[in-house]
Amino acid sequence: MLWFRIVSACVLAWLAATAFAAEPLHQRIDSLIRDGHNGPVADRSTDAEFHRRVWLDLAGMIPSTVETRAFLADSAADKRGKLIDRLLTGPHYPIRMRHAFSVMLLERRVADADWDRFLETSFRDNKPLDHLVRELISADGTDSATRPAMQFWLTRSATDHRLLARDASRLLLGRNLECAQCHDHPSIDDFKQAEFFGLVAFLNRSYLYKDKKTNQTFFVEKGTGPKEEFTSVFTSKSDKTGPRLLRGMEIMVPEFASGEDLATPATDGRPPLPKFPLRAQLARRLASRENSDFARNMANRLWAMLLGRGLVHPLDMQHAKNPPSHPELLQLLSDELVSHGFDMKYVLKQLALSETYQRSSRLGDSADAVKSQTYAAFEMRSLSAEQLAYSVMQSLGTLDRILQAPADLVATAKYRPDKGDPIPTENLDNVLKLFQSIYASQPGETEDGFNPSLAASLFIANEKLLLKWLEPQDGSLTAKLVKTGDGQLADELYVAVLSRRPTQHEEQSVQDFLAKHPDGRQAAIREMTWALLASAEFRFNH
Amino acid sequence: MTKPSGCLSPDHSLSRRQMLYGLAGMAGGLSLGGLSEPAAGEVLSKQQKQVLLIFNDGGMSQYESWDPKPGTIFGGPYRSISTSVPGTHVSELLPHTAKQMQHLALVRGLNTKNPSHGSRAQAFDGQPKNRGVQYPAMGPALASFLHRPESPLPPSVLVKPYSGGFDYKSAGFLGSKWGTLMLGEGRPPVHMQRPTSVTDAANIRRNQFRESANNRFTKGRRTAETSAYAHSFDMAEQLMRRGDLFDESKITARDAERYGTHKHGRHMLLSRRLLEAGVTFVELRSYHWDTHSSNFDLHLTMMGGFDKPFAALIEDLAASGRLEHTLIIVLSEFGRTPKVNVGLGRDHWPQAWSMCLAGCGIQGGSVHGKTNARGTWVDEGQVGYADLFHTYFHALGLESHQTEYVNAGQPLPVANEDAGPIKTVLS
Repeated sequence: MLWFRIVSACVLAWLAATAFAAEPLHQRIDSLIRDGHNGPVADRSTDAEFHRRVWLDLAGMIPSTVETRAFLADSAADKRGKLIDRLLTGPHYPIRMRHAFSVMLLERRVADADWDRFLETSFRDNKPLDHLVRELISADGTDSATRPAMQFWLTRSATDHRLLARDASRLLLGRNLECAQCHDHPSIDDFKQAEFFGLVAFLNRSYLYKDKKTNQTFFVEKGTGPKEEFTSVFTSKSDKTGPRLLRGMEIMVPEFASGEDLATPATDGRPPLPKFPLRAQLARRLASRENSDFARNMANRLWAMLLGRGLVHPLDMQHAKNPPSHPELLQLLSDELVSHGFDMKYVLKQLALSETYQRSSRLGDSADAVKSQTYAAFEMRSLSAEQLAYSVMQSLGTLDRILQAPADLVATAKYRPDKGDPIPTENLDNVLKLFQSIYASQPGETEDGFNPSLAASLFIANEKLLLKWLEPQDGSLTAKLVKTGDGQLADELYVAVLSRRPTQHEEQSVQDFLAKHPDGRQAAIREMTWALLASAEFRFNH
Repeated sequence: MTKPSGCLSPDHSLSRRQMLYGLAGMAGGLSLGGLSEPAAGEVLSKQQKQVLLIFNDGGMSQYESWDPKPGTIFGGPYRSISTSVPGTHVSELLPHTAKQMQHLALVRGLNTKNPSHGSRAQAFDGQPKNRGVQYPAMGPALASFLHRPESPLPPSVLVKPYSGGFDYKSAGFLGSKWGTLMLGEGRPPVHMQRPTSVTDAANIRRNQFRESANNRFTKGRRTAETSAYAHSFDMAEQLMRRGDLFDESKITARDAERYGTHKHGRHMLLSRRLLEAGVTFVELRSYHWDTHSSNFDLHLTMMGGFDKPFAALIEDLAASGRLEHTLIIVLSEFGRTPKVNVGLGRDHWPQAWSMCLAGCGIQGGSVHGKTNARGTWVDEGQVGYADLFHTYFHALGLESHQTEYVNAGQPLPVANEDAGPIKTVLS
């Protein structure tokens, strides 16, 4: 396949040298989006809209009052670009990406603190995405630097190789092959049973090894194993396959005589390691520049992270019958991802700079009629459990206090407000758990789109911790508001909760609310603050 | 072959009905006052078919319930009694239910073949053929056809002992919106109680301010999601106003006497009240029907806990006219062995057992199938879970061979194509 690599390298070089290259990626994105739509287009977002949006997307929370006021006051023409750069290198970015990628990769399965640290370090260092994915696939626990990565597999199962293959395909290649477990997909020609089992064959030697002395576990592989046999439930035809990726050849797996398949046997504290580990083969082939499925999937997922929906949507349904809304754009993004060495920050920055990203979500009366895949307006999406938790704390002025609070030494029992349990200790872990218990999907469930629930609205209405945070206390928003004169109050309130200045009409309704309130100023402030927290404007990134 | 990993894909879940429920329905629901007034519940429920599944987890013994064989070798110590339907006899452990027999249909020819506890899944999904997708359980399955999107209450509610929560997996490929709200110990979601610090007046004021903020925000923006979000607050208010559903002090003396103060009775009463409030599918689950030892003592107690409240429920639903549009299903995982083991228990026996149906689309007083004299095997009218599934759909007015799910453009039968409805029990 050497000639193929040379040709692709030449094509890439040629692409990079064409007239396109002079134009930054974000402008090329915009012209492709413009080409795909000839209806009305939303205005450019206001500074306040953009500011809140990009903070949520790149820092995982709404901005502080100080940040918002400074940004609104800044008259520099390039302040949006500068802000993007600052957020990408700021302290919140690795945490935000850790949350986003944990949801994407583990789908709410619970990993440990090592996994969190591993991901945060990876994003802080801007580890190339292909590199990161190779570690997720091949980590067996013997290298302490990548040891946490094996939780990509182990939070799912160590033994259900089909589950592992299913999720590797869905999440890393964007191809949901689960129907192809039992038969070739009835309506999608390119989802074949052989593809699914080719992937299983990379994984079917993997097993959990526990060192008896140290109690340490490793996700290692046997030195030999069978091919994967499969039978269609439709045609009853049987076949078998060794390890093989879509559009690739079945790889040649060397056969070893019995007892000679191990590179190193189990030694003190170390697991036995095979001569020919298949997951390393999978990592090399799957997360590579040559695998267009991988680049397309990653490009599509980064696009969805910032633009609210995938160019291919659902994200794991990349196949011939579900073409991208903008095929050239997806091609461009995946090419750029490859030519920039899977540099995630580069792509995120270009996306955030695009006018497509910077459009308002307001489109006038025709808003409901315009299809979302045109990107004529910014696609609203609900805040994740983590974005909500951080944003509620940010707006109510409790964030610093909670971040500084020590974690519980001993995990407490699950908080049951209906049983009259007292509010749990106010620290980050407990606050996140509380919000996740209400807003996060169940382990193993894909988080896709807005899912309104009774549990969530009842939580906002009645949770004692939120009500407590609405009471004036040291450094809190309502403490500040109580001391603020009527004339400034609306401004302080709206900037803190909705990250924008109030309109004149809103100033007036705040005044009216204060004037008419029978129970005094403090009660009025508490109720208005609650109302803005419970508003759709707060719930969504818009 | 291991089982396929569960199909969680959005492709499998984007059915037409889900779209209706998730988008148009939510938006439409804004205009409805819903069920804060009992009268509104009455109107809605007259138009809507509902289902109550009473699932006795493990196996209720057919000998000690619907198909007694007194005086035979395997019959056990209990006698049979006559019922309000001439010629139909049930165990003497069902004295109150026997008086409601004119409303009930019995299926006595069940052979569900699977003796393991895994058969619960089959009882719930009706054993569809393997299409590589995770079929929804009975509640989400039936609710997806019956539920009105404007209803402020969840489509499917499970009243059960122990823990509650939200069982999204029961919805299978329909997607988690069709999942089941589980009321553990009959209790509501954890934030149902408004702290006393928030007065009614304060709550109205703060919500008015929220609504005016929403009105400004939604102008000129796509409405589907913002409306759904606003609607969820209305739903919450409505459910909170129906806190009476969960308030045991609101139970009338008459209901307390007839349904009893024990857990199963209280849950039976809650189920009736949830149906009255308009919930589309209610399941009432009880455990510990797995009487591998002391079968006769246990059935004396457990049938006692079932019989009187069940009879009261049927009587009440019939009196209010609700029975006409409410399908009642009484089901277990399997029956129990003819042979009594050394611990005086009966083990699992899926080969010949019984279940009971009532209400919507059901011919009251009918009996389908017959076991042999000793109750060991089915003599006539053998049916299984798949046939029962067809029967539920038909009873609710849905032709099960014609009705299909549309799942990502792929039509999927609602029930196993090789089976069919049990016509004897259909009205």
